[in-house]
Amino acid sequence: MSTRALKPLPAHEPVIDAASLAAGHDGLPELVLRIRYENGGFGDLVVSNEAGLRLMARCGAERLEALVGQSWREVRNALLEE
Amino acid sequence: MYDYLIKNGLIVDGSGLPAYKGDLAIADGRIVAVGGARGEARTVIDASGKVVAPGFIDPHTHFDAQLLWDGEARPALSHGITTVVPGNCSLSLAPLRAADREALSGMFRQIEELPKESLDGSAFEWTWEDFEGYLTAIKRGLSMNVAPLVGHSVIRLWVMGDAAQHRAATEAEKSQMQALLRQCLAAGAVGLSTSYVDVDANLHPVPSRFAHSDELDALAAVLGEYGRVLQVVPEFYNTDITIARVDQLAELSLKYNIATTFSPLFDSANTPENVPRVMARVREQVARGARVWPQVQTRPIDISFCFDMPSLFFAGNPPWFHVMRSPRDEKLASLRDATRRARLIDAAGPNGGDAWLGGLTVRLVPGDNEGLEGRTLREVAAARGQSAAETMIDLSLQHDLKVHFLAANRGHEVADRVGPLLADPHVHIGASDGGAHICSFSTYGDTGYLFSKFVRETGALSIEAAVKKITLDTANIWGIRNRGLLQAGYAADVVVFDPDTIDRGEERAVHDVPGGGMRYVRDSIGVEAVFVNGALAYDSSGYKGARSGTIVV
Repeated sequence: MSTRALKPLPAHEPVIDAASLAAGHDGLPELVLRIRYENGGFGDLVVSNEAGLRLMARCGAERLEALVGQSWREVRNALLEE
Repeated sequence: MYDYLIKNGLIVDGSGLPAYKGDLAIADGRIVAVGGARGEARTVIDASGKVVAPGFIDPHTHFDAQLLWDGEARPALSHGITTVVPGNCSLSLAPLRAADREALSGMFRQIEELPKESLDGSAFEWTWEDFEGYLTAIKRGLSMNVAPLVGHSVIRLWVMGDAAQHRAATEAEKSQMQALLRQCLAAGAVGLSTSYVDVDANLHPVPSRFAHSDELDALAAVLGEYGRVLQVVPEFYNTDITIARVDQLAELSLKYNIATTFSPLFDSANTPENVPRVMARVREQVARGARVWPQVQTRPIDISFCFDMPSLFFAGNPPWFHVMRSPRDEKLASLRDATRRARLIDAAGPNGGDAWLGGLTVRLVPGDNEGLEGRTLREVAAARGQSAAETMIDLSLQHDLKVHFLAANRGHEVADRVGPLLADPHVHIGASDGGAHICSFSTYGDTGYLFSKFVRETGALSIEAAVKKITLDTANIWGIRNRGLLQAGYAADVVVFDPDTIDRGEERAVHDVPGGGMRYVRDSIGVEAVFVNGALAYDSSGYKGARSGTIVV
């Protein structure tokens, strides 16, 4: 099981509202993230297998549900590490 | 005297008009009569009960390298494909300076999963630098037609060298790129491809991704001079950005009077609003007079993984995820340790993970002495008297973690959604990716699947509409003249198939890639004969080595 503590959740910024797996067109799994914005709006974002793994590591998550509530900054940083 | 007379067939001529019974005559590479054909022929073929249609055109392939050692682009020709468009996604094998061959080969290896030996000069001789030279090289053995795109990334690489993967172009460099593109188009390129997504062997963005929009504008202006096509891979993982790209393509289309196409666009239960939103914007732009064609593939999408590489596949199961992302030695120790192994099997769910893992297909088994490839974990587990989870662990350990597992139909798989999308008049059927991702899944047989799934099974398209989509529509979108229609005077690219059986075969591994590489293929089913420029290139007895293909535009 996880040996890392989950990062504390942010209060006033866009956060991950839901996370699920999807198939990418190149045969690799991808992570579909639903982002909830401060104004109540939602947007979907799909990240690659590699970036998704980095995101889970950054957040100390070992299941998709643990990503819920995490900051959009974690997503951005996971993508920028590419 | 005709060369061939195909008698008593069901003529589906590519126009979309209702099929009718009739004959088709071929002479000197051309169709000379359709409907009633009176005259003698050297060869008469009885097509009773079979469809006679124009050869299919595949607009999104990566056969650039394969065509150098396999002019039939096997098995594409056997599926009735008579024309392919290689050079998609910003990558073509020309123009390319000798000094840049290794850099470009890395990009190709990344996308196509080709072994190094297939591109290091041992499988073919690099005789060219310019686009015309590449066309000369492939023309020697072509048994199908090629409408080649030139890649934006290689144009950048030629003009900018290493800087192509670091910065925007100067005004002078943009002018040089325009001049180079003109040369390629004059030599026979059907258009330009670019990508906002692809990466090279080091996972670094390909050169086209460093271009600013004014660079693409300058190149689109050249396409306008020749009336050629722009193909784009947009950021398809994000609906809003894809819509922005639709707008960008529409502006270029209207400004320079060119056709544009983007790929892929696929349906996913996870992002159900993606396709409706993108298509709504496409319709808006088409209503303005723009030509923006989304390419949609027919086949579902699979997930492939092995224990040797971290995969999100396990992200829903913490014990498995924890082990799978651990360092290799630690992972091996966990899989071998009886206690931790039992914990994993327990975490896989009831009945040893049957529901989660049992349906996975075993693939890429090194050596495969047991004939495991293509069987499900459930089948292999039953034969071994094990659970699916135990079998997956044991197979991986037996083969140094190299065995792959396939979770089939995990996207673009809902026929009730994909069928109407394929039938949409604003959708261009394509995006097969033929010749790419060759170790992950088969990119062949999408046309057979179109007929078996969406004509015969669901009825989303009539047979006339399906044929039109992959023949005349494609020829018109790409400006490929005198093909895609069964009409006197047109090139005799013709396919004869059984409408009751045409399909794609089961996926299977073959080891026919230069350098000992493997790939997944699907054989054709129900394709009886394929003519390319009037020569019989394939029939149910096999490939004919016709070498009748040519460069078309």
